[in-house]
Amino acid sequence: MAHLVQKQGLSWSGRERNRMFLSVGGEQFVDASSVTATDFIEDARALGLVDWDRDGRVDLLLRNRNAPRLRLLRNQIGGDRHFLQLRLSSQTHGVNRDAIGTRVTLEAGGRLLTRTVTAGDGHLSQSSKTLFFGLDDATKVDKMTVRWPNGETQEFTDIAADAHLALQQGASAPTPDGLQEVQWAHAPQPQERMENGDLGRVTVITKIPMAEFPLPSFDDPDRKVKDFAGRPLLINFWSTTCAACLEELDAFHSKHKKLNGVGLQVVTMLADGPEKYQQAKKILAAVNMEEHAGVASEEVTAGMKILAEAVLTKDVDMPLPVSLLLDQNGQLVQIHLGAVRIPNLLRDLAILRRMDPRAPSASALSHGSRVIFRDRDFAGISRYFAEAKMPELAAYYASFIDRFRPKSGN
Amino acid sequence: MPPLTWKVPLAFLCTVSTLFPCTQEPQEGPTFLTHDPEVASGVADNVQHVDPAAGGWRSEVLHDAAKKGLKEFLGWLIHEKDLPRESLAAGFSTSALRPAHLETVFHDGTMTVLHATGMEAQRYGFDELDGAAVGIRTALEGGEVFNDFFKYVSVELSEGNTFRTQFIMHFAAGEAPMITQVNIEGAITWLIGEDDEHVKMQTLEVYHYEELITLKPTFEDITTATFGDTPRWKLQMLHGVDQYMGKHDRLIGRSYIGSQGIAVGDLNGDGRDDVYVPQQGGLPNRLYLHREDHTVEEVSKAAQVDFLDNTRAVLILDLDNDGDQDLAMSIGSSVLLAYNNGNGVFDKRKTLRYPDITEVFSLCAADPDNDGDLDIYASRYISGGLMGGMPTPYHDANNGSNNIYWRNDGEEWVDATEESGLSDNNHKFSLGAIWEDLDNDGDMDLYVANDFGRNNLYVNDGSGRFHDEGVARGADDIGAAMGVSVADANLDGKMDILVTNMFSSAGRRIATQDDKFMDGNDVEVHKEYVRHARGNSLLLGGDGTDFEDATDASRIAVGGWAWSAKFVDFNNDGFDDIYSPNGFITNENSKDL
Repeated sequence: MAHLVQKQGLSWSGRERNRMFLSVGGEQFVDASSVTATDFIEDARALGLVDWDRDGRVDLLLRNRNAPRLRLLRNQIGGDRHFLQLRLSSQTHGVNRDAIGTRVTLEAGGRLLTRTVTAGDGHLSQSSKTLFFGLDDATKVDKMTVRWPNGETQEFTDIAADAHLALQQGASAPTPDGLQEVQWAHAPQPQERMENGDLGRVTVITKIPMAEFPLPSFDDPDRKVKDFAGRPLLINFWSTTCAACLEELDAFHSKHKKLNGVGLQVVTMLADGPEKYQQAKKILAAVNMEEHAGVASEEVTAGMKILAEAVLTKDVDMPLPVSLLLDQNGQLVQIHLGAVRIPNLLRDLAILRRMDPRAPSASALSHGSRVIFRDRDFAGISRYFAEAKMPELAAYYASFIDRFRPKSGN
Repeated sequence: MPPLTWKVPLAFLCTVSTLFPCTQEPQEGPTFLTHDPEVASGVADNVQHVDPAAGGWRSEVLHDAAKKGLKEFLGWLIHEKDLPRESLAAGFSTSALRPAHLETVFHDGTMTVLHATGMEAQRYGFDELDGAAVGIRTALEGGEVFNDFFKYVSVELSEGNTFRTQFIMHFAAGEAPMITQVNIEGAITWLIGEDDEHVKMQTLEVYHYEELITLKPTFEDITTATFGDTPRWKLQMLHGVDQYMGKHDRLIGRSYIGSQGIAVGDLNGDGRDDVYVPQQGGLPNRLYLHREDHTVEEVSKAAQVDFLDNTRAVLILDLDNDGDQDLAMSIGSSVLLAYNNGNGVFDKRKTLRYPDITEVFSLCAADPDNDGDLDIYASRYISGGLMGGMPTPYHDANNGSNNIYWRNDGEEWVDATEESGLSDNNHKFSLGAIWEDLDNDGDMDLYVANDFGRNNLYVNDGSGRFHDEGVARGADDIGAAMGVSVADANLDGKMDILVTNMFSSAGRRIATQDDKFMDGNDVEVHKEYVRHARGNSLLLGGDGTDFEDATDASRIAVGGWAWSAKFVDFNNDGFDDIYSPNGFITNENSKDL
């Protein structure tokens, strides 16, 4: 069944609309999903409660599996009812500063309202630690009882409604939280889902050295990645029978000044057999790219597969065109699945220039950092090269085993 | 267009190649990196024995025919389509679809709720059908109907050539802010024709009817206005999980299920709640600071919390009692603590790692041992990584992973699960938990929501020692729980529990077939399977320390495949309402399993 969902793209309890149940008197509820406009169709996962615009009404913050991934829903309901909001804290010895666990009971309009300060509930969710009380018609709270986590209890009487209050343990009274109120004043705009498309740039989070990797040219079977050391290198795999590849070669040609200007070397690797060599050379000559051109020998292809599987997944599909971006030390930092988009490449090269070449991670290319560092399984890579009868590369990758001891931080 | 999996866009790019073929057969043999897809794979395969398509269930064939029949009927009722006489059984009759006498059960400036329960005596035959429908059509005022939805909650076979179904349906019409919504529950008897795939509606009874009318604005989506100008917003938040599947380094962890949560809290101490958004592996977590005008600034890089690691749950709280807000988050099999240096930079870190590869889901924190600092409870799901042991027995599994109670001892964090007694019944498939004073005696108890079985209610004896009294206090709520929320729903001063569960129409139908389900064996166990698919549960705190299951009367069960249902008093009337976000996996292909 999982296979059907993931591999064949079927849905499984998909397109379900979120449900909102209106309480009618506390123990009976009425489905009010459509009248509250909260019946969104995404695969929702988490929910945070917050009074975002501080108008006394609880807003909803949804986290979804599919787009849009976030929805902040501003509540405009019940503005004619009264509320009280309370943020608690403590500096008392033996009590946590956030006052988590504090139980607050309000008596208002003849009702008893009870809430506790919590941190984490629902599924993968944390709501605001501010307590939200709906007071219905009551314009004041007759009595407020606060039972702090250490058992100490405080009582307050006659608190005016419609206030955002702060209370520190032991204080003589809750006080307004002092924030200046700024009314929500932005026009609503719909959220537009983006069409899925080719965003196939994969950051190689823990770089893979490739200096000894073969890059045979038409004339030189012994050429290697290290022969291009000192400048970033783009290794582009192509075929004479792949239209997207030919368009991509044109693009490299027309932007070669720019690419050269930022120090990039481009090596094309032909994925066709010898019967296509002549045709390929003609194509390369036409775009003035024959100088560094190479051929993806069986060894290169097998090696590519091993490295791609190390980065992507076990039964990886390798599309054409595909390109590898290596830093000036011959370390793989990025894989472009499909045609390289030159503006993206130029942006990435700018990031690469600012990166510390000694850092083990290329995470900056994904605009983030890593916090749990896990080194590449070079033992596995080495074993795969050994199984593919490439002992030199097996030995090369074995030399990186335990290159970095696992540690926290980037 | 082929179905959308992460592999297809790659194959689609490929034109012709012999050395780099579009597809390759999966390789046999060991993988050298095993951090791979998420829970669904394992869990899903295990759910197969309630897969309606499997096993040649007669009730399911009849269900599909009845589904078609009701769809046709609804097409006539609300979508102005024809209903040929021969599509109904001879002698067909129905009650009025909108009962004549409705009682107002809720009314305020925004919303009115009318309701009727019980059946009316008057019957309408085919020739009087418009008379049965006129009430609903008048209520909808000829507006275009949207979001119509129905589910069968039972298929009841009988000896003869008829069977009965019970349904629940919703639809709405109008234009915001003036919307009318109709909820109907009822029963249909069907006459079986030449074979089980051809059935005709014989009688229809509406036995519960609700009509809601809003006249004023309710909720409005302000996401774009609030977040839309932040960097890379569209790329990260307007694409689904599938866009990035297979397009990031496998070292970082994947998230096909999209188990990414949300955390709200005042991270910079300016009094306004900020938002931290954990992201799937390969996308940086986001920290959005709340500005005075209620838009946000994205500061994750400067705050040093732009982690690319696959992150699930997050807590915003003061872990070291230094007066600023810190972060705790579940990343893979670890709980990462990131301490605020007082200036909004979270550069001091600590990793709480249990010595196995089991992944952490939800987190919750409190000070249950009353030593003045916050401890963390980490819920974990499948033992031994995401491809680990499958739930056995399915309906009451006790082979899930152990959850961990991390006790904060200042510089050190200690696994105090055993010592505290929280090791009691601690082998469940846990997806959520909450610290709350559930027996109203002044200390923090713990409720744990477990998939495939019973939930735990760990009662604190006041000293930080716990005992699972879920079953003893009627709070075990056997089912497929994903989360939990607590409030005093009925304002009696006793806390009540809302358990997020899976509602599965198919599960409810199949497990009620006593002679067929599980080959007719263990009929008592069938009831537990039915419960498993019942949906959200409401457990009311009683006069003693026990909980009473008030779900059926409350009508909150049908919340879909829900994940994080919560109590929320959205209209400030003092009574907590319930919002139930739901949906498992939506793909391009709308064929649903």
